[in-house]
Amino acid sequence: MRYRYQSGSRLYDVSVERRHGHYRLTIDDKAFDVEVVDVRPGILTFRCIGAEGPGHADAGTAAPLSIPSEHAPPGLRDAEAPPSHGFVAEPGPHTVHWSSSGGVKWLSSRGCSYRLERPSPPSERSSPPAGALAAQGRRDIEDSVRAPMPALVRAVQVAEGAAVQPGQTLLLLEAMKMEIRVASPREGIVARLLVRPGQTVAHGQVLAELES
Amino acid sequence: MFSKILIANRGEIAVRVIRACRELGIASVAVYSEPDRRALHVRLADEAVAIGPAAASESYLNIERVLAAARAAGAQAVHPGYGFLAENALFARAVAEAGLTFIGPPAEAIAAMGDKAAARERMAAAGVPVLPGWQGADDDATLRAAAGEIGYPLIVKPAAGGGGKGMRVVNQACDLDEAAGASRREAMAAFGDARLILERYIPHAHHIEYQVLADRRRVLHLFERECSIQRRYQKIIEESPSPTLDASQRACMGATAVAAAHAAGYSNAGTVEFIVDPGSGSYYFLEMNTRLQVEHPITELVVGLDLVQWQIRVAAGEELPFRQEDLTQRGHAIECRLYAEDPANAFIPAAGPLAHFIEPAGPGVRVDSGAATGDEIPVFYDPLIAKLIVHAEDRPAAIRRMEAALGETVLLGIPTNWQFLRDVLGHPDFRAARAHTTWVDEELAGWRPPPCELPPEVLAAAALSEAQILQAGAVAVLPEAGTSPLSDPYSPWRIANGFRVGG
Repeated sequence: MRYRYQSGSRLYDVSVERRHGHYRLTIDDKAFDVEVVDVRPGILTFRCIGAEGPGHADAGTAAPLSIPSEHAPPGLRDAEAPPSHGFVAEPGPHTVHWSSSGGVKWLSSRGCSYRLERPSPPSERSSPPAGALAAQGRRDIEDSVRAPMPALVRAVQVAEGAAVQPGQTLLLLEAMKMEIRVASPREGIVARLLVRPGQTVAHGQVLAELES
Repeated sequence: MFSKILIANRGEIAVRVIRACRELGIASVAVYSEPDRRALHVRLADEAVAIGPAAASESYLNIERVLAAARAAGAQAVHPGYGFLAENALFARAVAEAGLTFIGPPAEAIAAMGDKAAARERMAAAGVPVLPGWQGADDDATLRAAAGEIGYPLIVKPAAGGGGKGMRVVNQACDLDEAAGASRREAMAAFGDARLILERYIPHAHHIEYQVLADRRRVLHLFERECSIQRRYQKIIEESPSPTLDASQRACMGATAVAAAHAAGYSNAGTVEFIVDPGSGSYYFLEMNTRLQVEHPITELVVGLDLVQWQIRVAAGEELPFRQEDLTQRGHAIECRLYAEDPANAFIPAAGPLAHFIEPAGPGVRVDSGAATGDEIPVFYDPLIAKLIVHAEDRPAAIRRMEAALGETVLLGIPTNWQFLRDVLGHPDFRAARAHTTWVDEELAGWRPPPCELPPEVLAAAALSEAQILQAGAVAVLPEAGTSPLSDPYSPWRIANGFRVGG
């Protein structure tokens, strides 16, 4: 099984293989042998029983790899190398809490929270040329007026076809008892209004579209 | 004593009041708006009554609907919590006129303290120190003359206001007209009342408030809470006792708080807020909150009293069985407010499913939550998810306990201020109790979450948690000891309450 995760702008490829009595995980070009200790709703407990790849001496898959951080060789402290602490060096099991919603996975480990997205793998969609994608992105930024947060539409202050100036108020939203003014990012014509007063909108939902 | 109480609120405070009712043997009635129909307070209450759609003005703020629910359920008293109708004198009066008991101060006290201009005058007359300032008819010319007398910097506040809304600090005379204009517009929009007051502004002040508790005869104070950790006038972390007061200041401010409550004609629980000048140590009346505060638990832990239960008992006519001399502060308590908001993105409030929420536990750890795993944080209301409260022997021990409690807290599915709270607690200024009311805005203005290289265990867990992996491999890999997750009805691939496993 192969999975691709995105965190910020960085992509990670992870593959999972079942071996005898454990899993072999390959994260980018490093391999980890992992024994699952316990599975509960949203809680996974597992132990690293071996690791190999750049930054690691070849570790026998059966013997626990233990590198106490204060004794870690200098190479392991490089930005490129995996952290010298963490589950690779831990003798005991490690617990991660997780949840999924849509294409987003949230995980919590060692008191830190992480948000991962699962972009569709390139093989599953026809990938448009990079230039076209960038052009579409640019058009999107210029033409779509989006909700800055989940909110209730209080008022729509322009009509379709109206000419608007940069900074002109297009809509008023309300969230958490605050009023949020949504202003036009540029000069243009309101091509389409996609929401009505009283409607609830999600973060990033397109409220209106502009044209030149 | 009452046999049934309606709680005119939602979220963690409704849950808090339901629990107090249960311990007193009183039936609780929750009210809820459409998006809250499955909320925690609805699930925990003995009864629940629908009161309208999402918009607070048509549900939690609607006096007629709340009273109709109270009548329909046969409640004898109404607890307003905080926010919504809690400081609305019309509501307190309407509850009394409906033949029910309002669990709070008399409507006259709410009205008297709700108007900042009138409250300033009343406090000054009672000998309570108020900031040099001005209240009256506020045409621009009068305002300018008054401002000149007070001196700069000063703060412009809506007379009808609260919660920092419409407040503006003015540093120089030529900015006054513009600030006053903006304040008036915001005051009119928020409170339907454009009147302003002026007060001298004390930079880098501390916010210290006193809990008061009064039966029909006597007013007692339950000592102070230090609430200087604020962001744009919204408190984030509170503690008790204040690390900045000495014994003589503490006693003196306590006596002033009692005098202020007497002057307000107060009964039940309330809070007298003071601003403390860091240079002189002088303190001034800021406002009186005629309700239970969000941060009441730290006082409960340090003083050892259940404030909500005493609110109910005093409202039912009981007298307080203890005197001021009986009350002492024991140990140190801290509260952190966990909000659904994105601190890396201008603290924009967040909403959505609380996919996974594990509360911390252990000695001296208390969690007042308004939601549990699987609940939705709705977009329509205050984004407070839970309050983490710790109690320990002294301040350093309480800080350590709070750090451990935050570290144990798991909250997944929506952005929260969790990391921000940890960074405040760990800051040398917080440790040294140097933080003042604008410290967060000044010192942490450019705050960003620490850059995080994803550790391999997180990616490993992400891939292992994909449903098909564990389904295919769990039998072979899982140890035989203990329960078998596959026959377990709580298996991870069966979670279906509001979010999908394996995305």
